[in-house]
Amino acid sequence: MIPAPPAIDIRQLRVDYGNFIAVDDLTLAVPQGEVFGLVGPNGAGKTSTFRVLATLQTPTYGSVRLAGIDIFEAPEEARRILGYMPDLAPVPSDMKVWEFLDLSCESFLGGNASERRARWQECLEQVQLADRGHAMCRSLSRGQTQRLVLARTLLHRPKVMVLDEPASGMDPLSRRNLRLTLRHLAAAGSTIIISSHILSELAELCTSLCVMNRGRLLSSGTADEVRHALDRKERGLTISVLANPDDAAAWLRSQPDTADVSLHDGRISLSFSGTPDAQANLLEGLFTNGFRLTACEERKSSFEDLLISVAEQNS
Amino acid sequence: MSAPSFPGPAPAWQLWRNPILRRYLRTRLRPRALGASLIILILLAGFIFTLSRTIGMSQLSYHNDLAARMIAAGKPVPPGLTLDLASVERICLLPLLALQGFILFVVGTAQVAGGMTSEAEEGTMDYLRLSPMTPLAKVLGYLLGLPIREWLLFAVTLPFTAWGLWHGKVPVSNWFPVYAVVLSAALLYHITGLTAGTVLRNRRWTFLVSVGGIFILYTLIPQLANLGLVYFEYLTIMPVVMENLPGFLPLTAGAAMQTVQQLQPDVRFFGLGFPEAVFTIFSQLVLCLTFAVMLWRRWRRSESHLLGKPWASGLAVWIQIVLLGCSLPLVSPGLLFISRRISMRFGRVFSGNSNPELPEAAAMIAVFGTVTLLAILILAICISPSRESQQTGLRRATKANRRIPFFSDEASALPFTVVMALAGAAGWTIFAQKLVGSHWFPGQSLPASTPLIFAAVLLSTSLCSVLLYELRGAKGLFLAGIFAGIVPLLAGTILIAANRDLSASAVWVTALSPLSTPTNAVATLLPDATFRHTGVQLAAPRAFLFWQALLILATLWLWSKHRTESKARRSTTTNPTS
Repeated sequence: MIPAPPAIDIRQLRVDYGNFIAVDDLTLAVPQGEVFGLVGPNGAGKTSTFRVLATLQTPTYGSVRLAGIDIFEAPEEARRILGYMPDLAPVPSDMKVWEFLDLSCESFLGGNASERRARWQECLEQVQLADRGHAMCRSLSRGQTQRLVLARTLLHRPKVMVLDEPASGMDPLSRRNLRLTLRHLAAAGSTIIISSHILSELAELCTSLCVMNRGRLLSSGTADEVRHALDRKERGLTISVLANPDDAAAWLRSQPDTADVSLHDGRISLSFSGTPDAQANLLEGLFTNGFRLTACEERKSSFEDLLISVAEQNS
Repeated sequence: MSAPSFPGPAPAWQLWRNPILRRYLRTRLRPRALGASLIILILLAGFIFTLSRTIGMSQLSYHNDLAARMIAAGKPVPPGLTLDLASVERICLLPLLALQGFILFVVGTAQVAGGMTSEAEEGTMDYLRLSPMTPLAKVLGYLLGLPIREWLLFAVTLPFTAWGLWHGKVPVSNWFPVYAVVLSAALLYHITGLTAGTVLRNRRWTFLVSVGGIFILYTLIPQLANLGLVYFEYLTIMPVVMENLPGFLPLTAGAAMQTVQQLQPDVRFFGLGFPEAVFTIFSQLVLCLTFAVMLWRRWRRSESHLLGKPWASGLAVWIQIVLLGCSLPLVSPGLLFISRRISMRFGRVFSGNSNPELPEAAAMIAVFGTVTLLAILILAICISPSRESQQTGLRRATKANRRIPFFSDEASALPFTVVMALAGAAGWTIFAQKLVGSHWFPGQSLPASTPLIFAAVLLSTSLCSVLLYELRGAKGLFLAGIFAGIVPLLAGTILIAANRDLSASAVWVTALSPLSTPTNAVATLLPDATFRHTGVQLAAPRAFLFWQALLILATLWLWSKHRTESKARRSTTTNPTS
């Protein structure tokens, strides 16, 4: 049996704006049914990648296939299976909610009025906006607008969904509902690529992630794999000693692989980049030098910390 | 997940199922917003209609009383005094046509341009860009949908017009061509607004550019018809309105006008003859098609040039063909010369001698050259790639191990500029030779070097502009245009205004501007026909030749710089796979 092609297959994608390289030879394959997160600081190339995927931008070069369809050779065909939700998704101010959805339904699906009505009502229910069908789009809150645009994205049952910051402006309940909706869609066979700055949520929601910086792919895989790949081996140690913490801090400063040693309320904080063996030797050294340990706590970098450090590299 | 069972978006020709058109039918025809417009319009149209009829009726009654008194007194009634009911009913037609024109041409176009920019500003245009509708369906949806309220308002005024046409006994052969051309002109104006709205991103600028552009394209440029470029007249509704005006006027005034019009020619295109309405609609449709191509390209790829290279080159050739086709048949009867037209229409009261003179022909040749040059400049810049675009194209080509495709947006526009300039020079030469060699100017002829001089003028200016754009971008070209193109013309004008003795110096200053080169080329070729001042007669050819030589040198220098930069860029853009 021939294996199904990846739902999203990006090869050597490059996007330039003059001399600025927004996306630099990005190669990525997302299997069908995945919820894939694209993470990175501002200017990492996420939105450019998304706009290329959405057929809104022509890259400098590279190939992109959605469910086997070359989006540059057959953009109309690709658009039939693609759902795109832009960042800060806008809605037309002069339309009612149902009119906006009906317009989208008609321009994607055609069909008669009753068929279209049934479809957009289903989508409004899916995003918990069924009671706002006759409201003007401009009267919706930011979160409701996001949900409306998500409903619009779902209308034609896209096989591939490209969602740029879909949860921005949503309250916690809406976010939870979004999470459930996306999981349900993925379970039904849709492939979702999503970007967000709420990284902990993204880690929770996505089956796999990739981290981009300066247009390049730094790492991809499950949340844990990405964390390990990006981890710079530094961890924070907090040590308490029974007596003479000043001397203990001075001794620690003189040891290899230690940095940022500071003393607060009798507790010594430092960052340590040695191997686990070296860490054991360090603690043993404290003991042999007459400092009696009362507590030692190790703090690994969180996902946010890792991305902040990536962002700092970017700036 | 179940597969969608929907049939897909409707094809472009099924306009009634066009989603964009239906969107505007809903939003722009909401009763609350429409109500106020309808009330105002019905009041205005009703006022025009009633006022026209009231004035007409009182005149009718006065004329009839006067005629009755003259008959009773046994005096003959002069023909101009009689006024019948049909004439009265016709009085409202022209004011209503003006109102309809304002609604469709001004308000409708502004709505189209503003609506399009608003879609782009809000970001909602991307949703429709992503839909699988064809670009043609999208263009048609916006073109007919955005001004839908103005079409409805236009329709509301039609019953008043229908009353006037019916009771005024205006023949169908009079009103049908006028309204057919009004509709085609409305489409042309709206598609102009749509193009402006698609290209520009700022709502205020869009309004100014679309209304200003329409004023220039369809009001100012058609005035060039008086200077030999007859074709431009057919971009407006005026020829058709003027031809059919007698039918819209009260019977006596209409008859008088018809007598004057016997002298007006039908449209003659080389050896062919066309009705005015047919030729006008055809001319407007060609322009509509060009705008539609621009929109189609932008909908297909938002970063595309407005025109492709072959289309722009073809359009430049087409402009020459239609300009010559409309002008040349009028040379022999003398109808191309405004002086002769005036003298034929009004006798010799205003113009004195009815034969055209050589200075008029020289001015017409200069105008032809200037218009040709400006058209080539606009088209050439439309198809020229920016530095960034060239760089992107080169990277793309290097990646694929090939050269930049010759017709792609990223390829240099220089070869196509050469084609356009040569076509322009050929057209300009033919026009000049037919005019000067006509029976109106016996013994006059142009030198054999004319085609070379005209080609040098068009090639040097257009190539220099394209090279500047490709090397230094829009900003570089803009600054050069201001300081080398406009400032010398202004400075020369001030010099002439300050002191007539400085005329020769003024000619040297203005000749610096490439925009003055067509005029100076004609002054060089026909020195006796242009300037009467001896100092100017001597200065014009010298200034022209001096600055033209410098312009050619500058163009060659820019060309070599362009080649060097292109080579350098190619060598720095390595193949990413290697």
